[in-house]
Amino acid sequence: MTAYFRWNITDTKPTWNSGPATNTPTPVSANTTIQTTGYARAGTKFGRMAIIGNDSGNQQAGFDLITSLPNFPFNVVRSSPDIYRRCWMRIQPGFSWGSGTAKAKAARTAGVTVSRVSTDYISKTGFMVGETDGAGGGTGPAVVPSNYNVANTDSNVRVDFDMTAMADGLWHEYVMRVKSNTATGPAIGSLTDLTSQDAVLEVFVDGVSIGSITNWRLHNNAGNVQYEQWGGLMVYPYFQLNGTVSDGGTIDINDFDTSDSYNSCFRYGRVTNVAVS
Amino acid sequence: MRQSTIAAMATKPGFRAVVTGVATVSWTALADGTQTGYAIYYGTTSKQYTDRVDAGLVTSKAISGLSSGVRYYFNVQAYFANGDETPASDEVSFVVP
Repeated sequence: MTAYFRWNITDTKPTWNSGPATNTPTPVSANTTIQTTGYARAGTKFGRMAIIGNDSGNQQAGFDLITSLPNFPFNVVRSSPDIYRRCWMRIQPGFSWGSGTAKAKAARTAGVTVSRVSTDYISKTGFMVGETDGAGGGTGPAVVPSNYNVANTDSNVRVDFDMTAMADGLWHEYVMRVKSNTATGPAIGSLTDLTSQDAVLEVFVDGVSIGSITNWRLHNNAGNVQYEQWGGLMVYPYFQLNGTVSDGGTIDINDFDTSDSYNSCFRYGRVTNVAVS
Repeated sequence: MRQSTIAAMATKPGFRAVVTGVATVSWTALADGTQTGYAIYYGTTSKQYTDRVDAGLVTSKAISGLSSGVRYYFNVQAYFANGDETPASDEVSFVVP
């Protein structure tokens, strides 16, 4: 397994491609704090985000990595290795996604020659990949055979899940896997060459796959250097609840990992036969 | 602190001695085998732990300084060289004598 990004907040700096990051991440605004007491899930510290509901679709939270991170150790969008992004979240009871757009941009892959490769979303009703329009001169939005000519929406590629049920005050693990397509897909609006549409979005919650979307196309660009714009899943989320003042609430975050293979902590198993006397 | 000092404090109004006790937590080694140690999380509210003790690569650990008569909740997680920790174990609780 190659870990591209790791950070447990207990350590001052993340690691990137096995080396220490140059800068110390800092809370992006007053809505995010580092907690040094309480159950951190792993280590002794975690992040806490106080999310408002009436954000007008514009609410940055989490940790600013200060500068653009190094590139992924591969330089193509098409046929690139899988990217597994892991985070742990503790959504406190009472958190409300509201009835607006009710989503957060959770991670983003950017490109040097194609500025916007893809964005991972976590929403009230599921996990999505969007913003794959390649703004900056690239080609192709994420498309699936059923709506191959629908460009650049947030929900073309979507795994349904009820996130409202996760506001139980307990730590849960989320892993989003994105695999790019291996060959050039059809032009937008042309129903041809569906066999090349072999990109995958798969989502795991607490070590269990909750669904996947296959046979779609992420991007056609084969020579674009990729980099992780926000570090990992929910490190630097951009909430777009578009709700009311009574929506939002508290979300704790910790234990981020972005790797080229399945990186769930559940793969180790659990400690058993715990007793106390 | 000298015994005479403690005795003097005990005579003052509002003084209440805190009695502490010990709990010994044990578990079965993780089958994975690559773990480099275990961490014990505990606290007085179920699943809301306030303290973490690094037990090292053992399968039993005594935790001292707990308040007598109070119920504590414990969870054991294995950790690894890369920083990963296993998910929480089943929780156990104990009233410290």
